[in-house]
Amino acid sequence: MPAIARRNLFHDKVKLIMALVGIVFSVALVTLQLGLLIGAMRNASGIIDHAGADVWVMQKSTRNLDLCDVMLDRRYYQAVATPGVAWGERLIVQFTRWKLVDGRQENVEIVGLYPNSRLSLPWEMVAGNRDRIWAMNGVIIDERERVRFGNEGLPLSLNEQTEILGRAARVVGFCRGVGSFTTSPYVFCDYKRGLDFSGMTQRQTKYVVLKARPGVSPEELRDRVRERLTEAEAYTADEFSRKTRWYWMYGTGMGIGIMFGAVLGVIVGVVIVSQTMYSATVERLREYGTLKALGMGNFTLGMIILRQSLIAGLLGYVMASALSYYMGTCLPAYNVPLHVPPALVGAMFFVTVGICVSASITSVLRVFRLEPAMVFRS
Amino acid sequence: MAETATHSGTAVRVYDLHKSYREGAHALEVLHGVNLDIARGDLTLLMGPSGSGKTTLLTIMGLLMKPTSGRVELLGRDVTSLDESALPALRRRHVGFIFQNFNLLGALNAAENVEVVLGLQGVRGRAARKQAMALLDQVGLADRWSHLPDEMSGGEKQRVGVARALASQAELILADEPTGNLDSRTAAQVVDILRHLAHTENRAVLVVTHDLGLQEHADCVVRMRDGTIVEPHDGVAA
Repeated sequence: MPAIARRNLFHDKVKLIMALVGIVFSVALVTLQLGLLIGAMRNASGIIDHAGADVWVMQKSTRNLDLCDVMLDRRYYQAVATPGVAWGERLIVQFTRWKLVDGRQENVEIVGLYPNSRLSLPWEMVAGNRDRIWAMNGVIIDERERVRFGNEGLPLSLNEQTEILGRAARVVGFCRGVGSFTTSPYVFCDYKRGLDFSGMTQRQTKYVVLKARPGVSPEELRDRVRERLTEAEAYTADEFSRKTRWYWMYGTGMGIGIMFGAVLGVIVGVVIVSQTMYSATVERLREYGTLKALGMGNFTLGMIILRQSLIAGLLGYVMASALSYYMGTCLPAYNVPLHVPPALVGAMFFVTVGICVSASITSVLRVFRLEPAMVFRS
Repeated sequence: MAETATHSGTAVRVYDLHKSYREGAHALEVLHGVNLDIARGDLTLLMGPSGSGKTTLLTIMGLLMKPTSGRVELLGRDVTSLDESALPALRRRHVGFIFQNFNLLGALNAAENVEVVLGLQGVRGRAARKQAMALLDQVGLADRWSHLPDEMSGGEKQRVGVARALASQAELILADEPTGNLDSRTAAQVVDILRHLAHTENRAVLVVTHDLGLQEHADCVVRMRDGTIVEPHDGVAA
């Protein structure tokens, strides 16, 4: 039998374009919204996920990585003395202010690393050297912030002098892919310098990060630390990562907002494709009635409509995926926390099929109810 | 029960057929006890004024609609009480339709329109194309096989419609005003094709028409008025 679905679809090019616009808009919107969600979540917990520590020790009542109260520095000694600890380090993560050359100030988030830190932070350097932060008041910032933190249109450059909370600092490197959930970028520096940059004293710290000895699981070590440090809280890296993501995504409502946008994208897609398919079906009702009169069953007719929708969906999916992939590679350079992994693109195929099947239902039902006797009516 | 004609060449027979439609609180009776046989091998015309019930009768004979009461026999088999789900298969095998407005699928070319019916019979691919081409050749349209309906004249479209009706090997071909949108010369060509098919392929061809000029081509003429047969002919059941 001729490919009625395909021929019908391509015969009416205006309707095809309308359906494609609906599908591309919808699928791209959903992909980008979910890409933003994934990107924002990655940013929110990127420091925890990349640091390489097994257990994070912090002041009780800590809600997430970025919003943490100070704790006494002696917790460090108590924590590293816990049986099963291979090594431990102090770590500062603290909001502070960076003064630009023209006098403006920008919020940043200091990440103070202990000398010769074994933490994998920052995890990718594109210029300069991480070791220089311990020698010359050095700071490292993500390369995407160079324009924002530059001077009169000139991007921030290596060895440029700056000022953080009234203390001199020098840019000694640029890293890549270290985004922040907030608008304040992470700035890596020496631990002691970080105390100065964040207004803390040497008797205070923010986190103690621990590595478990071989044979000791992060959960075991966490439990041992909790028993030993009843005034502090300890989480495995995975737990703290989830806690941080959960806070920013759902505690603040931002994640729900992004998800709402994705759901809206699905609804818009279903409505546009459904309207287009229904209008195309109604225009061809006499043809469907003729096919019924000629002996075609409802199942076959339904499959013709569904196939039309799925062909349009497949075309739209390919276009939307290309668009989303392109945006996923371009927008992060402009500090948009967009991450479109292949798995998301693959999952969107099933979302597209869902949109197309849902959009076909009204058309299929209309044809099911069609009386074949209508073919003799003028 | 066998589905081939086992009697004296009758394709479809209706007994005491009644059909009424609901119009608000009232029932409008369109057919009042119609009895009619349509014989194979004949071109039968069904004539009458508008509203006389011709198309309703055609629709019931084509198994597209159920009568309110009465009986319909297709090739000797009582199909009146058959479930709706069984009717598409019967139409597919035994009934061909030709429409006044052609009702071709606009996105398919002439050959593909014929292949749709062949596909419903299970004939696909090259075999379907070969048969479609043979059928189009039969109606004089072999050289127009690749044209879309929009690229053909009314007469050509109707001949594609005829080829499509023939594709099912149906014993009964029902045509509703097949010449209604054609000029007299083209109309005569189409009716000649239908008569030829009835005579050479032993099919029953029932044509609903207002066109008095077609009577000279017909083997039988049945006239209806107000939902009844008013002019008996050889095929009218006693």
